[in-house]
Amino acid sequence: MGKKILKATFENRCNGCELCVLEAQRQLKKVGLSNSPIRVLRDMSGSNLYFHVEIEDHIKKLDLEQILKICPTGVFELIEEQDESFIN
Amino acid sequence: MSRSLTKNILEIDLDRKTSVVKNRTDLAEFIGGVGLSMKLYQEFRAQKPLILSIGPLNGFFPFASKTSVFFGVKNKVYDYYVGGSLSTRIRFANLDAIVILGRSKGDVFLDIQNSEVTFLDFGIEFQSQGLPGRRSLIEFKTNKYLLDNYFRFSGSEADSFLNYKKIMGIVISGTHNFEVVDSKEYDDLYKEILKRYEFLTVKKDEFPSCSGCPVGCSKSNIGENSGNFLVHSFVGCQFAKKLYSNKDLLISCLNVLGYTYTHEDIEKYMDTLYNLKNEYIFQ
Repeated sequence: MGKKILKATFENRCNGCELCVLEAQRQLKKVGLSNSPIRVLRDMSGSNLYFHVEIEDHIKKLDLEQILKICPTGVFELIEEQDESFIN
Repeated sequence: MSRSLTKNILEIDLDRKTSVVKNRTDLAEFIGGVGLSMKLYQEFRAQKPLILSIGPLNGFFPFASKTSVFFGVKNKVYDYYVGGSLSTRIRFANLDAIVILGRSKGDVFLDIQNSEVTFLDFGIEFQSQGLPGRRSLIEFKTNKYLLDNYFRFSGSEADSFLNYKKIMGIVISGTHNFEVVDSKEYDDLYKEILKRYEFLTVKKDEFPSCSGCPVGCSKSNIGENSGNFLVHSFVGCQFAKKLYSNKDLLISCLNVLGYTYTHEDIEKYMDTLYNLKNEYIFQ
């Protein structure tokens, strides 16, 4: 079985609470937003507020289950990382 | 390792277009939020200050998600509390309060990044200012100010006061990361508080949420005014009042962060606040 990776598959559900960002940072033993493996970006174009979730590669080192679990709206899923050697 | 009780106050002078951060040891007893604002208002009253302040738990714990907005007009003072991402950005800018003094000659946009302030002429593209993922944007739109295009102040007086100062927008970015003394104990307490949904007096919903709050309630964009001084000193959400009016919980949170405040300090602070409050007519 391959390694699991975290995907923001249901980004449209994000409410901008940033609990995922802060969870990732706590796992790295810090509190703050800088150099976080997850960023929540605010899209303020138009008359509404939407969110984009960016995930950096170095999140792989963290406990992804905890990040998935802390999201109140189910933005994330854990999927099997594809082994590129099997891709033609 | 204890955390400093010194308050970092960013003073912005709109008349002179200058700014300075002062590390105020003399404000140690003013734990934060509305009480800190009242003290600063007393000091700067002649310069018609607009004061944004947070408490020691903002950015560190769930539901401590509001920012105190304090100002005076004629003989009345106003205390509002706005949600969104603002309190975390002020925290991660390593500030406890921002005091905006005087009045700009022309329309101005303030770009605050940690302790640095850039005064920008109105007319630039506001939405591209600040650091992505680490900023809050307050912007004048049509006839009111919106935070991140959604959250607003609870009363039109705050809009009028910002407009009077000719502030057309403020972007605040914070890039500080903090360490905690015992990261395991901190994580456990954080998650314990997060689980306490039953203490909230608002329902979970699907609206944009304040930073550090999972609820996404229908009232997140409205803001608050007046209310419980203890809760508003820690600038918790009014819907989490049952949590953040519990002194034992407050002390646990403070201690895990390394603050040395005691129950007696909190009680003394409340007394100081009520004495200060008597000097003003609250709207």
